[in-house]
Amino acid sequence: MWRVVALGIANAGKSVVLSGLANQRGLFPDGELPRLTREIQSHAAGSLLLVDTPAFDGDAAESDLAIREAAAADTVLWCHSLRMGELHAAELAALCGYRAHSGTIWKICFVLTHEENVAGEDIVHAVSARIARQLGEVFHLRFQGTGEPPPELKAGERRPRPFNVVATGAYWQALDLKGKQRQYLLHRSGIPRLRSFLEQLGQKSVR
Amino acid sequence: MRTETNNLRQKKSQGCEAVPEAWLACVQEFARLAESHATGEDTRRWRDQIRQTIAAQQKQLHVAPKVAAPPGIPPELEKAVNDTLRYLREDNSLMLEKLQAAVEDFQHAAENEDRFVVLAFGRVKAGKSALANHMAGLDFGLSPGSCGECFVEDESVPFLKEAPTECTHAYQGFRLPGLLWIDCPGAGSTTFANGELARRLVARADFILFVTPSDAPGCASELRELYQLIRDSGNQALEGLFVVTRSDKIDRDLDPETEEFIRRVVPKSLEVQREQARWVHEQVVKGGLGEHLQGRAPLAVSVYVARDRLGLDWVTARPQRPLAVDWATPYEASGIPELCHYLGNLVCEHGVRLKNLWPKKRLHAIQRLLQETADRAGKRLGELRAANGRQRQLLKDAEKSAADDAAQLAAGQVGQCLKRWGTDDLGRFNRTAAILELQTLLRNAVLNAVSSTVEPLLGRAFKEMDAALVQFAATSQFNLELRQKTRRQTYTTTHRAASIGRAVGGIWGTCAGFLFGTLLLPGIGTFAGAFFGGLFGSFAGGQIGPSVWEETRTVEIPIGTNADEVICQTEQAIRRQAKEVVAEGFRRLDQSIFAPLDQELARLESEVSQWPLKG
Repeated sequence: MWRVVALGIANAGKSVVLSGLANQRGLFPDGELPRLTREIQSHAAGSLLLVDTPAFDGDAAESDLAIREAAAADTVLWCHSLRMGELHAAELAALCGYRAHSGTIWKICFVLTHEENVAGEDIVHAVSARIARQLGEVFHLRFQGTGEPPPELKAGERRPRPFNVVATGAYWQALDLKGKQRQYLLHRSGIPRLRSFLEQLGQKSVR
Repeated sequence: MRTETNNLRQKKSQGCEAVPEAWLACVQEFARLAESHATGEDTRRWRDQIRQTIAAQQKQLHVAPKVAAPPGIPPELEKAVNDTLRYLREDNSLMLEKLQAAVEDFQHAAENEDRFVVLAFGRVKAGKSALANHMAGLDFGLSPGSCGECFVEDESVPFLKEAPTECTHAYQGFRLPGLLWIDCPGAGSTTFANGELARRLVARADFILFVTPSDAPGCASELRELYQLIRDSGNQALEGLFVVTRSDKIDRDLDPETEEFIRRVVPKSLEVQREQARWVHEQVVKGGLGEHLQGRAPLAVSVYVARDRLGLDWVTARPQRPLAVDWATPYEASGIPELCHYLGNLVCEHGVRLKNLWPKKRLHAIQRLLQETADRAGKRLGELRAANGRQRQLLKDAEKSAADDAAQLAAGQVGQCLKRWGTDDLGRFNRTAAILELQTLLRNAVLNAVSSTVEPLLGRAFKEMDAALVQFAATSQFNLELRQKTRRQTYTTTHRAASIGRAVGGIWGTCAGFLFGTLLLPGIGTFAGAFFGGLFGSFAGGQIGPSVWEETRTVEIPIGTNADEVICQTEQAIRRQAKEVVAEGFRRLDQSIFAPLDQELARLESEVSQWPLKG
């Protein structure tokens, strides 16, 4: 199974994203208080093994657990809430630590969460553009913000994956609707697209 | 399908002028109280006195610590001296920096003596700037004189910048009569300068609003940073209140008529707000910040909800729709009126007390910092002096062993040396050459003994000791009184008695023979009598004399020289002198290097003890 591990600071939306990918609301406990996830939790969903981790900016022991779990992942979903603006110092430090430990960033899939709770699309674009610049400084690669054209690459340069913007609230709302509204909200939620992408990754590796 | 309807920009058709009046009334009341009580002459005088004391301390500390270290210090000790001096200079610079910051804080306090200073502190994107703009009354469309006057550094601005990403990098906020609201850069900022600025601003606040976003309230990393910030600022007695901002969510509702999704912002449920408040309170107490709260429960607010209820765009605060007649009741749900009411009461009840507390807190903070720094520096100097003392003790121990070795080495070669210069024969003995060789012997013995024990300890300093030892050894003196040795021999002799007897006998015999000869046969008899009488008398006298008188005589017989004695004495002398030379060499070494160093360090300790503020 393709091991997908969600990583992020407290209340970044790791649990709700995984519940959405598994298509089971509340599968991974989530709520309004931070640090509800205190240990590793995993669940198989089709060809994916979804693994939830504690926040890495809290307790030192929990943080170690999360980072170690990420090191063993086939894909790391690095979750960050759009409501929090750009990446915080703790997140940048964790990214540098991850790169130093694993030597690669190509396993990371950046997921920008809580799109449904952001006031407008322009805010999504502004935040993702800033995050793209921050990641560019850390990894010396050209990341692409939402709403931006793909950057021009030098010969032989590999393009980092675009950000995945998700709105799990919209996903659950979509499941209660029918017709065009359902399709619209499903598309806006970003969950089916992300699930499909991860399944494809898993299939490619099998081949 | 049309995209979701966002709030469209419309011309402002109706302004909202109904500012929470209680809020304004309270701060104006404070201004009146502040004018009459808070910053009376006594407080001003005391504040100015503190400022002068701090300025005087700054002048004193402007002289960087230095040590006139004597040359020849052993390498390890020299490194320790340099390291300690480096730390002292860093501490000195830090203190100057903190004192300058304190002077500027007092200046700030003087400029705002009629205003209660509230600092809004929280992580990046907690909503501090939006809260500040709203609390300034800017969202209410008031006339310029009625709402807060925003500033960034020294410049007035129409509002504080709000953006989806970090945008607060300077000293900014707003002023109302009786209130200075400072909008602090975010905790968790990736900019070092912002962190420094936050630390400075925390030091100036009379009261602090800890702003934490409802998306992730009371995070451990945020609280840790806050705790450290308060500690570093020295404002440990700061009182405050936690405010959970962005306590809202955005719902998408399907409009059945247009079949489009309409977004609307709603406050989080009371249950969620209570749960988050309880969680924040627990985390705050766990994070060591409980004393700052003084039992105040966190409040939940949402500027988006407040703006929406005022008919404004959530983000830009531009008017979207006319203000509803009964806007006040839905506006209550934003939590802002409760916050205003709370702050207003706080200012009225405690404003004067907190305001008057500030200079004392600031002074205590700077005193504590200076004392801690002085203690730390004093401890380092103490350790360095102890290291110097240990070095001196090592040398003292080495001195005894070196002296013994030198004495032994020198004494062992004395006999050979002296014999070489003819101590066996007084006539052949070369005293001058022997003394010269003994001096050389002494010098070499001392140098060998000292170099093996002391050079590893002293390194370069050994050369100075070396020179002193050579000088002393060259002036050493030795007696070397070589004498002929004799043996006393006593014997008896009758030689003189026999001679005298013969002489006396001869005279008497001659006289008697002369007489008898003359009587018997004058002429020939006289001569023959005298002759034979003399012979017989001399013979008899020669026989009788020794039997009557024996003479005792003593003579000294030479049996060589007192070389052994001289060698033995010289050995003792050279032992003694070797020890004296070594002792003198060590004494000079101590007096030229370690004693002056100890004095310098003692002077520096005394200087460091003056670092804390007096009074």
